[in-house]
Amino acid sequence: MEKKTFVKKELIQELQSKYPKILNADIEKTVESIFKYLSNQLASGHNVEIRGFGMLKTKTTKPRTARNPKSGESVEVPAKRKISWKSSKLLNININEKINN
Amino acid sequence: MSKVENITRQKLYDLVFQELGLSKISCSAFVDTLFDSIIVNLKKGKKVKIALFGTFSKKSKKSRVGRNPKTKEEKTISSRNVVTFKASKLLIKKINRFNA
Repeated sequence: MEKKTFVKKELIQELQSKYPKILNADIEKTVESIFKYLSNQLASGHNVEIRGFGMLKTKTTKPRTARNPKSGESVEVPAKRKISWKSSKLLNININEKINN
Repeated sequence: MSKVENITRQKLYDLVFQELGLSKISCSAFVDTLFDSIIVNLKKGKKVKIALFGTFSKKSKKSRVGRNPKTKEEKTISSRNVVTFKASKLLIKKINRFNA
């Protein structure tokens, strides 16, 4: 059966085969720094908007009182930041098209 | 806090330019190829897992009956695919470390 996951390493390999003239190590370094850059920017509160792909944002949840369902004890849940993702309209169309090959 | 910026493809082009020093056109092609490759693999039904960042995956939604909130008209929303993203534990940790 074909593998179900496509990992970063394979992404790097695909780029390496498409760019034979660039050193493999340089491609790897570049891909790593792209994702590192994106996560750093998200961490500093910026939004990532890749046209034709999607948008990543951080959202802050409010602090709330939750309950431990087992003991009924109330627990304070502090405010947290989480990532929200919205796929672009183009990606939504794209993902619903049939593959042509 | 500094102004919230939108990080666009342009910023990534500049980053690739710094890293690889290719022509501007090749830099944009490189970034576009990267995202195209992610999309192609999502279309194949694969999960795209970027270690230390997160996982993109395709989910199929079943068709359901929706309602136009304005006209109250009922309509079937056809089954379709959507792309979801789940941030890695490391990324969640990272975004919670800043302005904690």
